[in-house]
Amino acid sequence: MVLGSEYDVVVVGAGPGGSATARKCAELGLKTALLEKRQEIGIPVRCGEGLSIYAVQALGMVDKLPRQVYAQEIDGAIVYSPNGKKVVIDFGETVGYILERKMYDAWLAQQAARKGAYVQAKTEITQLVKEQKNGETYITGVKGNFESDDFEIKCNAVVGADGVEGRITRMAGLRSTLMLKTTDSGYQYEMVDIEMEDPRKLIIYFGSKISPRGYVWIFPKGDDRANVGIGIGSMGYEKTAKQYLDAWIATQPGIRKGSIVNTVCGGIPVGGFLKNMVLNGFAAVGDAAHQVNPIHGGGIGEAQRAGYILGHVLAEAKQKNDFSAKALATYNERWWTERGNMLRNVEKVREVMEKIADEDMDMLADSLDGETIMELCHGKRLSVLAKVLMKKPSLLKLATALV
Amino acid sequence: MDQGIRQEQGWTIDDDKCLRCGACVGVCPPLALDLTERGGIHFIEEKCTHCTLCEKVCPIGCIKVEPPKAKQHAH
Ligand SMILES: Cc1cc2nc3c(=O)[nH]c(=O)nc-3n(C[C@H](O)[C@H](O)[C@H](O)COP(=O)(O)OP(=O)(O)OC[C@H]3O[C@@H](n4cnc5c(N)ncnc54)[C@H](O)[C@@H]3O)c2cc1C
Ligand code: SF4
Ligand code: SF4
Repeated sequence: MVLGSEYDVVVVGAGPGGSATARKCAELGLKTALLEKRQEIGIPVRCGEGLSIYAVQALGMVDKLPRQVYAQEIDGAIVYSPNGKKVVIDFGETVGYILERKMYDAWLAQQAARKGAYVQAKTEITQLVKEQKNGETYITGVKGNFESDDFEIKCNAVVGADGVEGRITRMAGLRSTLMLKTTDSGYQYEMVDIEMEDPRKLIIYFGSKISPRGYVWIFPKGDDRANVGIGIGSMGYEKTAKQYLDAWIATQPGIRKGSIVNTVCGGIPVGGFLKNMVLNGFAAVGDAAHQVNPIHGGGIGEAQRAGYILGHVLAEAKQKNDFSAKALATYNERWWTERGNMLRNVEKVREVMEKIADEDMDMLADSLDGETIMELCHGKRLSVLAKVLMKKPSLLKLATALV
Repeated sequence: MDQGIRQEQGWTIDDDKCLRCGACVGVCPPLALDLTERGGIHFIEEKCTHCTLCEKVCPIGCIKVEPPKAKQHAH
């Protein structure tokens, strides 16, 4: 129960990205520390808490999710276009979960600990230790404090899993500062005693008046409880995300009647993926590396998947005793192959969505079925979208950019 | 009402409204902001270029950035 002074890997930040990386590293035999500045891992929540079944499957968590880490199983979505046209996507079976993130994040960190990582909360990393090796700069350790005691740790590699703040990742030298054009501004209430059309479906409302460059969401956490939130662009609109959400809720009697049990806000990276996520003795994962689906804003599963890839790469680096950027670049390659190229396609769809007018969005709602919409959210069937856009001469340029 | 307003040189935050989400920290190019467990958002005046990005990203609108007038007087 004591933080050591030497590790193979020090992971900064115990969100889903950090916990997954630490777990994989520990499983593969690396001496690993997972350090989190918050007093309690998982709190406060800054998330809509949606996780798709595809992510659960890819992460090998099917049948393993403890009941307390999720609130509700989801079987589809109801999407409203700006003119109110309703598209229902019904899978007839569970295709996702609305989590209790504070329980989920705590569970992930506990798993990392049980696999052998040393986990410690209330531990803030404030500085990186850099050294010259063979004429190159390497990150060889961290400095920080636990409660009020300062410490220094030596290690072969530091993992920046420090979320949207990403200070450590940027102090390391990665150019990962969030750009306004690829960052959404999000605000959400967890509400109870509200009315929902179908508490097993996500409900999404589009429209530039209610949510410029984004949408309003209702993610059910039970029959009368849900995360009611909004994500908008941050390029400077008339109102703040909170003001847009409040204005929308005011028009919804079934929601307005409820009570607010939690307030949540945050920045969401929605694109601007990093070609390079490694340095000598360093790699970034999760929000710190902008690994989020640019359309639905899902970053929980992405952070964990990237963490597993990175864990394997760090274990290989340990075997070869080579933690140079060149050795760690395998992580760039594998992530781009497994996730990045797909996510970049999703970003292209997003770039179209934010340029088209409300009536074009209505046209899409008329022309695309639920299944195609789902596929577009996963970077597939862009040509179908392009075909619909081509119907209108003014959208031709956008259409060609897609294919 | 104004109790939570913390005024720094050309940069103001409403600590009562701020939910400590760190979005402003993430967009600040010169790392002039830090999210601390104790005091909320910490502002490092020497580093701030008054670019207003933090003001724009904040989902609640707790930050106001002004041209660094006071700074010029001080020099
Ligand atoms: C409003 C909103 C709604 C969202 N909705 C969804 C959704 O429905 N589904 C979904 O999948 N995703 C959603 N996301 C995105 C999701 O929350 C993130 O993508 C996810 O949390 C990323 O995980 P992470 O591990 O990279 O970072 P985080 O979960 O942010 O974890 C980073 C951790 O690092 C710690 N840290 C930072 N700096 C230091 C330091 N110097 N020393 C020690 N610790 C440090 C932080 O305290 C934090 O705990 C939403 C985000 C927002 C803001
Ligand atoms: S973005 Fe706004 S709410 Fe979030 S930490 Fe910064 S000032 Fe606070
Ligand atoms: S104005 Fe710009 S430099 Fe100053 S704190 Fe805000 S984001 Fe950082």
